[in-house]
Amino acid sequence: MTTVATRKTSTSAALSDSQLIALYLRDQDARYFSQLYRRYAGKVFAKCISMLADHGMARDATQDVFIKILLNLSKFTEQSSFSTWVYSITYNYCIDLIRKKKKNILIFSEDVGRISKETEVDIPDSVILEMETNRLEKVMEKLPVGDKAILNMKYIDDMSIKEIGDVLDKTESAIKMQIMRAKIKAQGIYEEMYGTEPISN
Amino acid sequence: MNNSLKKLQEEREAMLPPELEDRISQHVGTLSFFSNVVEVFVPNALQVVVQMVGGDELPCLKKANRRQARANMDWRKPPSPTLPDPA
Repeated sequence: MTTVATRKTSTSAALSDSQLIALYLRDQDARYFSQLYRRYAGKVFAKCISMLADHGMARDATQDVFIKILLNLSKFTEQSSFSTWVYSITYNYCIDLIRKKKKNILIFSEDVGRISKETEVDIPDSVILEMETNRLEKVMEKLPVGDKAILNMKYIDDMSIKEIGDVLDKTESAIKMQIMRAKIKAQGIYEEMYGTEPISN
Repeated sequence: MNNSLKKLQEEREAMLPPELEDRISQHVGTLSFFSNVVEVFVPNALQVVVQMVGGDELPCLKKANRRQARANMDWRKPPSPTLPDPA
C-alpha cells in the first residue's frame, strides 16, 4: 500500500499541471492536488506578502487562494497557462481583500494626466529592477496594491500586457499607462526615502 | 539586467510556513469526503423520497442499478434457456 502511494507521489512529480488537474478531477486523490500545491505555494505566498505586506495575512490569504483554486479547478479551461490562472486568482483575491479592509483606499496610482509621451519613454525598467532588494521592499510597501500587482505581473511573472489586462479586466493601453505610473510612483517614493542616492549598487 | 523583484520573490518563497500544507490537505480531504457523500448518498435518499410518494425509479439511478444487476449476475448459469444448443 505504502509502495503504491510512494510510486504515485513520485510519478505525479513528473506530470504536467494539466495532467495533474485531469487526474485530480477524475480520481479525487489529494496527492495530485498536493503536487500542484508544492509547485505554486511558495510563489503564491510570496505574492501575498508583496501585496499585503503582512506575514499572517499572507499565510491566511495563501490558504484561501488554494481553497478557491480547489473549488474552481473544474472551471479551469486552459485558455491561459495554469500558472497565469493561479496568479490571477491570487492578485484579485489580495486586491479585493485590501478593498474590503480599507474602504476608501486607492487601488492604483492616482491619475497622472499630465504625464506626456516623452516622460513615458524616459522611465527605464532599471528604476525597479536594479534597486537594492531591501530598499525595493520598502518602496514596494508604499505603492498602491494595484501598482504592486501590475509590477509583479510584468517583471516577475513575465506576463504580456494582454494577459495583465485580462487579469485586471482593463484595456492594454490602460495597463501600459498604469505600468508607467507605477514606475514613476516607485521612483518618487525612492527619492523621498533615499534622496539622490543612486538606485543600483 | 539585474531583477531585484525576482530576487525578492525568491527570498519570500523560502518563508512559506510548512504547516500550511497540512491545513490545506485537511480541507482537500474534507471536500473529497463531502463530494463522495453527495455523490453516493443524495441520489439514493432522493430515490427513497420519490418512491415514498409513489414515484418511479430516478433516471440517474436506473443506469447505475442496471450496471449493479449485471455485476451481480451468476455467470455459471447459461444466459438464457431459449438459446440454441451449441452441440
